[in-house]
Amino acid sequence: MSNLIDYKLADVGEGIAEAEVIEWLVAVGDAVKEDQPVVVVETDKSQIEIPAPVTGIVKALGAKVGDVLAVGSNLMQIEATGKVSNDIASHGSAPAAEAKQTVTSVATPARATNVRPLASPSTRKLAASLGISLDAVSGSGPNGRITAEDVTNAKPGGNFAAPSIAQADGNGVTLIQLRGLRRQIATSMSEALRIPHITEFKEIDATALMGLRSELAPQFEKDGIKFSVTPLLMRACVIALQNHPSFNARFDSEMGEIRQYDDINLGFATATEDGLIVPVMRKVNDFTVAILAKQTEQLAELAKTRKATSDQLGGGTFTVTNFGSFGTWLGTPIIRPPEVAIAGFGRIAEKVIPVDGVPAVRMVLPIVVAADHRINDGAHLGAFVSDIAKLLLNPESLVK
Amino acid sequence: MVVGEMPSSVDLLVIGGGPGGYVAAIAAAQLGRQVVLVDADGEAGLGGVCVNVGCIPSKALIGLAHATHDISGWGKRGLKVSGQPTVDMKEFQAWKSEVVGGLNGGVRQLLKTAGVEVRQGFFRFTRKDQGVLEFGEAPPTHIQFKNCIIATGSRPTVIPGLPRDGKRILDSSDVLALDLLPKSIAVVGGGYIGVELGTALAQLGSKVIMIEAAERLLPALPSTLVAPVTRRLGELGVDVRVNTKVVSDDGKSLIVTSDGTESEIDADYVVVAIGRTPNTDDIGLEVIGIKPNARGILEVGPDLLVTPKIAAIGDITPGPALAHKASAEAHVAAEVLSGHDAKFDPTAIPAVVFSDPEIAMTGFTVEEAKEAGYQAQAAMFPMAASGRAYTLGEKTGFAQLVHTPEGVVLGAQIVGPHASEYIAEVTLAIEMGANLQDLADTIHPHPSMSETLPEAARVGLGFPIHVSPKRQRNT
Repeated sequence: MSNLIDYKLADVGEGIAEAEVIEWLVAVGDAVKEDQPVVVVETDKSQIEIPAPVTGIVKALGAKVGDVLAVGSNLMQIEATGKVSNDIASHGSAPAAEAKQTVTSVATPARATNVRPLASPSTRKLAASLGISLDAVSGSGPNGRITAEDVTNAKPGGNFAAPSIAQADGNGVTLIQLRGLRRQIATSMSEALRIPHITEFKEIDATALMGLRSELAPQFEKDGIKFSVTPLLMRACVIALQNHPSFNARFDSEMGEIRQYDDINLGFATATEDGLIVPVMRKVNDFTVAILAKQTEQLAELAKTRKATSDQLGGGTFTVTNFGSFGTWLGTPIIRPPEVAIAGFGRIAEKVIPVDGVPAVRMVLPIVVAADHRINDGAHLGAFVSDIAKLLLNPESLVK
Repeated sequence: MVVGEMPSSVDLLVIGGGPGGYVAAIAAAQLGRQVVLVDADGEAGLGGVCVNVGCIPSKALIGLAHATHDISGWGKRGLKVSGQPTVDMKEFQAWKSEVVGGLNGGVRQLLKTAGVEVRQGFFRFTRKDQGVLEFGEAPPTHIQFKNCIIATGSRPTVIPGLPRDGKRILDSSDVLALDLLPKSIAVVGGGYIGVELGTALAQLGSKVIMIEAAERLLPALPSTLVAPVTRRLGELGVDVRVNTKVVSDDGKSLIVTSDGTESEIDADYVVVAIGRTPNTDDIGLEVIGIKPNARGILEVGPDLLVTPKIAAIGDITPGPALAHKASAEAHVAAEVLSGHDAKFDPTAIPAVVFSDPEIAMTGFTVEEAKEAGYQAQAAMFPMAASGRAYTLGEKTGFAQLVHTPEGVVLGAQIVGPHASEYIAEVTLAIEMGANLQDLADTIHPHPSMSETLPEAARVGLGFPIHVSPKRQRNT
């Protein structure tokens, strides 16, 4: 029996029809092991590493870097040398590998020994009807069982269909019943109040940063991307987080457990008509500012139009927020539980500061980071903020 | 389009009236669809193989066989019957026809009430949204559909060299229609259909020879479940030949080969029960651009769609070829084609063998659970410790729960009386994410076979009442 397998691009996620080949991690003739990443593709949601379906030899690659492949088209041909499951051998089609071609999300602790999410048939039906993958929902029931309520709360964008209801009583008082997003924000902010925040501020000379932005902007605009300073600020946070993993974490106070993550899933606060939404970019550790810019723009648009899925709104490990766009100087950001820190950036404005001992007018960026004091102390936070500041003062390192 | 090919227009077409098709038709009608169901046997085919020539007639036969056989068992417990009990298969067939007719009539009525139109004929696709319905000498009619659910089911698999003649060489349906009891019968195939037929016929008094190519009967099931059944078949005098293959039949004897040695088996009848073949080969699937896999199965995902407008359910899709799986898929297919987001996504599908004793399974075995990545273990409670089993004169078998270290129930295997009747409790437990404590603390009626489940759960929890605590198994 010939063991030549046509490996096809599987459905990489809800509603995604195509993916762009970003990088081949193997070449023709290479030996690959089952589950070894072979190619990086990028969808409009995220970058995904696709693993080899079997152990074998790469015989052909189905696309060049930059090609956009439709779901179902040939990705590569592999000659299997190991055991081949019937599913892959007889059809060479992707479904067998489908489960592997998913974006890794932050693991839910309760699910450690429950491979299939625990949920009753009626809850599964509800999730299917809402287009929600149970893999992306954490269960609040016994043994991590997912309840119907867990699914409703994980609904893409929450209950946005239900706006807050305002009713004037004729005596000058308008009663507003919180619904949907507003109620969710109210709940999560109350939850955040239980976190003892420690907050540190710093102002930095943003001259070099603004210079770099002006230098890069034309290239990005050529590609149709509006380039603000935000992706540079995000990149600085990402690099600093890799040196300070205690800020890239989630805290379960009931269990008394902190989970630090190798992968950074970066949320960014986005103002929408109905309220604040925080889309999350996954595994951004090695994202260039270009990718950060592109994904931020796309996700923000999805958030504003309520099209972001639960996958795109959950699983964050750190959040950034931008106060500058409101025209105010700076604010005190509030941590999104179960995350343990949040960075905020204020308005970049001219200010008189001492330069080499003389007063000078410079562009100044105020930065702030709030952290959960149960996890990190002032010293830790100071070091983290200083690292971000250093990176922003020498911004070339952000685009290396 | 050719004149005479003017198609009638159908909103949702269901092909096949079995437990997949008729349920899909009613479910779709309830969702507001105009449904036409076509079946090669028309209204007489409603209920499909299951009602007419499969599950239902076979359970009727097994009922008669158990009652007949039980007389000898109860003979040692006080029952006195004068003379040897005899079986009148003609009378049995009359009763069976009543049972089948009643159920078939029930399905007709249900479809009528739901507003589903039933047409008789063999359907074959001719275009992506069209097909032809042929019935006998009548001119073929053409049907254009908006949506279609393929529920064509399966048929007995044929062994080359042993073609069914309906006289000596039979398939399972033929056996269930016999109006005399065979003196001797060779059952080719030791899967669940062969074991059920062989057991029933042996209990009724036939000399039964069972032939299985694998090294044991019910090779697809864990050997611990099969051992009590094989032992019982031996007690019934069934001649079980494993590692044996059929070569040919000379009209009087069946020629078989085992370890390279040929031998003859004398039997009045031969029934071939080696499995079922999906009915996907002659319905024009190539026209709608889909191709079954090597085993004739249509590879569908959880939405059961083969094209955006056509779904497939039942024995022609992956998974066990069981009536209840087809019916469950039917609901999903009707919903998906009616614009609802739905998925066929069961956590557990139960399966039952009406052997003696009965075998029932649901969810994972320990091995399967481990393969799926769970840290699984099993907790076993023996029937010998069940008061209810005792009163039924049955001490063989066990109820076993497969669970995670936290106690989440992943599966169950039961061998013993009425296993088929209470396996659903564990299926519900699995679907609801229940754990051992939930089962242990749910009060079960006493005395009943279902009590073996909380007992097994307590074994898993380490605090059993009716057995010693050392029965946990890790394999």
